[in-house]
Amino acid sequence: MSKLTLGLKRGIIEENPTFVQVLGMCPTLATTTSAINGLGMGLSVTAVLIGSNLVISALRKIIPNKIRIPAYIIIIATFVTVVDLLLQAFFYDSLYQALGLYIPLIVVNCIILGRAEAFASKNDPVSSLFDGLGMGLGFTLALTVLGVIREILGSGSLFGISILPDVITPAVIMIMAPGGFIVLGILLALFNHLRSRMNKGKER
Amino acid sequence: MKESPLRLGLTLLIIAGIMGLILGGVNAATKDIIAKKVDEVNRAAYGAVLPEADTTLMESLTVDDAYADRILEIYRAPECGYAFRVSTKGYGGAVVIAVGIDLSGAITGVQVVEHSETPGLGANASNPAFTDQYTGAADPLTVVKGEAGANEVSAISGATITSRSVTDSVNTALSYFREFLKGGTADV
Repeated sequence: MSKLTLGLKRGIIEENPTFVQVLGMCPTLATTTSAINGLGMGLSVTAVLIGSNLVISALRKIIPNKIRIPAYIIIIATFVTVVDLLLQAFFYDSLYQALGLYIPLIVVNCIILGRAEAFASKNDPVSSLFDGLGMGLGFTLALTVLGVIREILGSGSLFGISILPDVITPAVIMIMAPGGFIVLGILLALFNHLRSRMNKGKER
Repeated sequence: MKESPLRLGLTLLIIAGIMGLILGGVNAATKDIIAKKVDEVNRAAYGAVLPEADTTLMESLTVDDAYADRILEIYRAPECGYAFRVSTKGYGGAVVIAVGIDLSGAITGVQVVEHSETPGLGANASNPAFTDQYTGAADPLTVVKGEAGANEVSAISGATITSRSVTDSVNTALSYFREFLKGGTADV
């Protein structure tokens, strides 16, 4: 299997950062009040992840083991700040005002440092890049699905377009924190049920 | 590679230095675009609360120290009125609104610019159904539950605190106008 499909499969299915590793829960719950916010957050993390994985992997033989964590943090923080500035410059009213607070917090998102430690510091730049892409897309997918479900149930709209008739009052709780936990719990159960069935199918 | 503390420190310094250069470059490239964008969004909000103003002619005024903690910005639109940006604590954090006041001292419009109120409850303060209540008012307003009479604002159900904080902000802008701006022609 090529490095690309391997990275994608691992990130989206086998080791999905949200549904399997259960990492980065703070932005997952906080930003998925609408589909577009979930998608925007996911893509921002993907951009940071691809960049940091690539650079960390390229520098893995130069960075001494003892100072690897501070070095990783500096690299990650740089990419996050770049994404932050670009979002401000080009998506100010559409995304930045909704996600603003959470973008700088990507620095402490454990998915990114986790992939740097577990993968990029031990593998070549190309597979690290694809690992970042896979993990990022896995995260984006999870956040978008969460956002879609919460937005339909909580605001009666999808990507900002109203889809439920006015007679149905949306359940506000779905876009508040408890709704996030409920949807996440159900999706976690569903995803892992399907995954274990898939694995059983393989064994037979 | 020998791992003496000096060497470790230097390696980290070099990495930090390179990253700093990258950041400097990106910042220089985006700084003007961001400033322009923020200005555009602000002017659009002020234009919405002062419908008759020409937003390109608006200029910023200095806020008196006594109000500096609540009023963030005041813009003057020549021969038209003033646009205020006022911040008050709401239920979930600061609620920032834009208020337009014409030369006679009547509210021309109110818009919620920034908030972190509960979706579906306090967040409804952004709806025109709520903010339109302020249009035309010239005297201090009070919040009531249910039907509003003269100089009263009907609270959003389930979000009395948010309704109060928006009303407080509007009153702040009104009293600032009476104290400092009334009688001026706004075209000094």
